[in-house]
Amino acid sequence: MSALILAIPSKGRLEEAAAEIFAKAGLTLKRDGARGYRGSLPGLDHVLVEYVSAGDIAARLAEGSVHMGITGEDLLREEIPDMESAVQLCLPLGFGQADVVVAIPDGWVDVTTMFDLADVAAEFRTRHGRLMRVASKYEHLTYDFFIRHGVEFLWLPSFGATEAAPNSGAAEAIVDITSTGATLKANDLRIPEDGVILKSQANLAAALKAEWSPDARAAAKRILAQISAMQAGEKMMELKFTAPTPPEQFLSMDDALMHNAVASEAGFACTMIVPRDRFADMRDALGQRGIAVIADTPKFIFGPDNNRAYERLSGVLA
Amino acid sequence: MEERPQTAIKPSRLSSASDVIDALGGTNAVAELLNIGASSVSNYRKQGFPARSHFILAKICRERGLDVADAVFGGYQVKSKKAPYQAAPLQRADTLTSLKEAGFTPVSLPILQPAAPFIDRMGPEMQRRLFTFTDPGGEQLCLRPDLTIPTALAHIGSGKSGEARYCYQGTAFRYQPRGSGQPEEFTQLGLEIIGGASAGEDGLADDVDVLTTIITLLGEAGLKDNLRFNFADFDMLAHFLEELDLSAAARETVWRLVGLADNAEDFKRLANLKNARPISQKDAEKQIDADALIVGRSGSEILARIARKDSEILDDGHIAVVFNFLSALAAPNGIEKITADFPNMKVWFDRRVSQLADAVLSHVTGAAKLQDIHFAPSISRGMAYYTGLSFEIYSSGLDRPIAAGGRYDDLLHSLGAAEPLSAVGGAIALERLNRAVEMQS
Repeated sequence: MSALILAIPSKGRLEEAAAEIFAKAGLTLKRDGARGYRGSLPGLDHVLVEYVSAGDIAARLAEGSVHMGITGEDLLREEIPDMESAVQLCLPLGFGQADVVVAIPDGWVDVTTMFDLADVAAEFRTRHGRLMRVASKYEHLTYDFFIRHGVEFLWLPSFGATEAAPNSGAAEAIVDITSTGATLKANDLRIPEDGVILKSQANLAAALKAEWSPDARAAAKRILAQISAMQAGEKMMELKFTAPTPPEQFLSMDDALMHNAVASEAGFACTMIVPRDRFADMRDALGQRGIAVIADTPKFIFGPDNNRAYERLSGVLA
Repeated sequence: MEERPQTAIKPSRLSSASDVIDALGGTNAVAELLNIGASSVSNYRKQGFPARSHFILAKICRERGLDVADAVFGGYQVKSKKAPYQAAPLQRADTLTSLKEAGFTPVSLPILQPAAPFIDRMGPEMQRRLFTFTDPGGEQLCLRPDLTIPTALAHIGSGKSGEARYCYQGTAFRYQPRGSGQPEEFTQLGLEIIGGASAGEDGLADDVDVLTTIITLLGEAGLKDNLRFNFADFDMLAHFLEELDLSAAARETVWRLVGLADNAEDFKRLANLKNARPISQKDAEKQIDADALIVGRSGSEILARIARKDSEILDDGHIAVVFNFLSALAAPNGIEKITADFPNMKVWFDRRVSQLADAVLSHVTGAAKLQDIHFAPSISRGMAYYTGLSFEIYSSGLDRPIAAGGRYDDLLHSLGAAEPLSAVGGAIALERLNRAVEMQS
């Protein structure tokens, strides 16, 4: 029982994306049979992988019956009151990106901000003798956001096809998750300028109430370091080229994470690691001088920064 | 796993099924507790406990004071994380008797209430804390979150006319997030005066009566010192706005913004938002047909709101005056500062403070002074149904009020009373009062 229990979504796109991230981080998730609900991480003995229905992972993290899990920030914030005291978001994983938003009828041309909506909601009550209704599966996120903006409303639980509620007359507005906004548009809905409640994505989260044995901590440290190193690599580009003069004479080295130049007969053999957004400039500068570049994404960048996520976690676990 | 010393010095946390089985006296003892075979229990050592045994084992462990990791029982909490319900020791018959002697009729009110009046009138902050459910007949019910609306409904149901004075003592229920340390079930002792004098020039008699009665009850319980009073008064804002040269629509706007704003800075932010124009009148008329129905609102309703915008615009001068007013009010010596900075508010404050000081200061012994009285434009945790003076009473050391109340002149009519009825009431949170008394003695 002293192992680290890691909860992975049990099926669909989320499972695939989770497996892909772990594989990229050099950690292969091995499932016991395609439909099994247990698994392991070969090379890490003290990890027990549990395949859990995606909707249950937040609850399992909250109660501490798993140590770590992959799930959307939206579900964690919705399902766990006072989330920060129960769960720590260790690493955003870069998939499952979607926004939890307020959407109002596009025809309400007098509403562009949440403040307008508060105004309309107050008038709605006096004019129509009832509260404005907001359909959503996100009860807590909706209440928190609407109270903060002073909007009176009646929450209408809705667990599917929420975007249809305004047109069908079940509600006036909705709170829903959207990645492109296309579904909202197709249903004549619009997001107020300040109507984004949460920019969510899949996170590797840790349960603060779980029993953290030394083995579990060590395993968490390894997992977080591997994924951090992989993510650090993804942000960078590795450049290799041979220059006739020392590269610092024509390239700014300030942004480079690492650089190295070795003099040889053919010139200076250079290796540089630079942030992705600086790559285009560098490539152009080299191109102007007729220098060919080999470029690739470094698979991992290991360094002290890899432990940041774990240090944050162990600081809270005490 | 390390070898455990045979004699444990301090009970350590049990983190596996095997640990728990040992702590409960071994395989056979647990088999007996669960009324199953010993071989099953042996399996639990390796595989963990099955879900059907979680509740009973967690209960036994709790009774025996064992510290078990949540994960062992599938997250089932061995220790209750919620604040336990404690019956109020002050719950005694003579409290109500003294209120009866003061002319209040004790009422007993149903715990189960129709949900609609509460959802409709308490505001979203209270609405989310309601325990609601649907009865088998499909009607939405709730556990009463306070006893004011139930008293109002009972009064309407009784068909009585004229002034009525009620008192009650009973349990109320409000959801509290886990870990908040606040009880979800608590006792309110309160009183309501319905159908009395309406709030007018000198119509504070009932408000002062409620306040005085509550302060007297607190005093009888042993709480006379270190009380702090927060007042919010719609009349104060109305009086302040009268002095400003504002259109009726702009005045209405300031009124609403002050109610929404957390503080002076926030008011400024909201006022600027309010002044922004979402769309020009012309463009709106092009896009919207006045006769159309657009998800619950008519086109003409939308166009009217845009047309109204012009008259609601607040100029920078007005925003600055209200900002200064709210800043002064929030200052430590709010009343002194505001009567100095806004001479035309001095008369109002002098009269109001003298009315309240009679009620408040003369019944509180010791240090209570003018500094212990604060005025705010609105009470943050207040009920949305208050219409006049509302109050909160704090005792030092507790960050939640031990008593609160106020005037709610339009509540009864909105709940179905044949005509508008003025009303004012207040209640003491008995568990909190007891804690305050314990802390002071």
